[in-house]
Amino acid sequence: MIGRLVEYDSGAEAELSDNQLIERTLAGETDTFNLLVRRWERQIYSLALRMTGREEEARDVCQETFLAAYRSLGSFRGEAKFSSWIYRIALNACHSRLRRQGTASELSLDETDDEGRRIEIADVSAEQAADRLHRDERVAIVRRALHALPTEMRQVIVMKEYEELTFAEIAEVLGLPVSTVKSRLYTGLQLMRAKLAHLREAI
Amino acid sequence: MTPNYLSSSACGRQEDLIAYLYNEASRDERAGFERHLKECAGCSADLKAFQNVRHELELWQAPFAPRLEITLPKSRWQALGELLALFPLWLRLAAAGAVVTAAALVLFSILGTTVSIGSGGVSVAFGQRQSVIERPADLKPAPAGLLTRAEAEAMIEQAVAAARMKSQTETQVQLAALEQRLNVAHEAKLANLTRKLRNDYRQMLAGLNQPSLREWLFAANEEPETEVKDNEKSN
Repeated sequence: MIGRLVEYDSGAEAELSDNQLIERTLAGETDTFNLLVRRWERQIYSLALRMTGREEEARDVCQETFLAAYRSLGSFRGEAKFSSWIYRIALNACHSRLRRQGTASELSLDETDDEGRRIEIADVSAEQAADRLHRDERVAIVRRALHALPTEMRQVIVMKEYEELTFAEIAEVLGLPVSTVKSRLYTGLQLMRAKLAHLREAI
Repeated sequence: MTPNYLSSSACGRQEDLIAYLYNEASRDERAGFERHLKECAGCSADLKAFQNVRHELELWQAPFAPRLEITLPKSRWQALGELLALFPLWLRLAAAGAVVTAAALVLFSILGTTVSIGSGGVSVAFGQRQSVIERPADLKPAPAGLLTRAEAEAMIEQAVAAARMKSQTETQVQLAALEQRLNVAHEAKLANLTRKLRNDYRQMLAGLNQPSLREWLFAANEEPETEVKDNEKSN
């Protein structure tokens, strides 16, 4: 759900929509932009952390995202939601950093299917997993599995699971048809399932 | 785009499964897919596996987001304002004075005003400059009936002198009026002040004659006998 967070705002500005804040910023009230930052920084940081896997990277991505948004605010048309626009900027910033990090750790579709047959995975229920591993270890496995996903799968899973966007909203951010978003989610979940099982067995 | 699913089933209902999993299917779609789940082992297995994956993903809780401190690039005017604010007040006033003077000079030059400092003091003449166009010497003399160059120059000089004289006279008249007004105001203020001082003095004297005040003033170092003498003197 986009545009649901207003708890960082206070005073009369809390009533203003994202677009109204943008208009004021463009009219010269540059400090108004800080209200937009307060409204969206948590989501952008959360997205960046799940995409990059590192806190310092997430902080840098956040900074870059809002500065880039401020610089190109004049080009924001208001046809898309501000949230979609800023998520897109943040994802681009994440991709640039991930490219620099290298993508060797990514799990490719071919790699997963290289034995020439459909993967058979013995699913482990959450209860069984809890018996075997501590919570912190399970979180570490989730982080590693998510980081190993191809970027296009990871971003849809992050936006759906952590940002709670709808299929239509994810499609707007990425400029893709809704059906593609669903198919990427399906593939991403299958890869996560395989990677989680693999990492658990390795322990 | 052809979906490249790692599907557990070949039924082709993967997107329906995703919509069902994330609760974005309509009521009819949900009912239809639930009927399908009873018949399709692949979709049932996927659904269960995905629910487990989602459960694991949930473990990575929303982290604490540090508050961003973003320094927004300033516009030129804002930057100039902030730069000026760093200087002491006198320097800012001096800068403002310089700007005003420069603006005034530009305005004067546009209006054609001339400011000259000579033996007669500072004189300011307003209005467009009278430009004298000199004719090249090789031109034919001016036809009869028109002014000769010397006559024209004399007339122009006369007109300029008259304008200067007029503006000087006006300035002097204005200065005299202003001086007179100031004097009147000054005299009135002086008269008021004198009256007030006189009243205060009278009140002070009257106060000294009051016994209680006298006692308060002189009690510390005067004897009672002296006090009686003082009373006699004042009477």
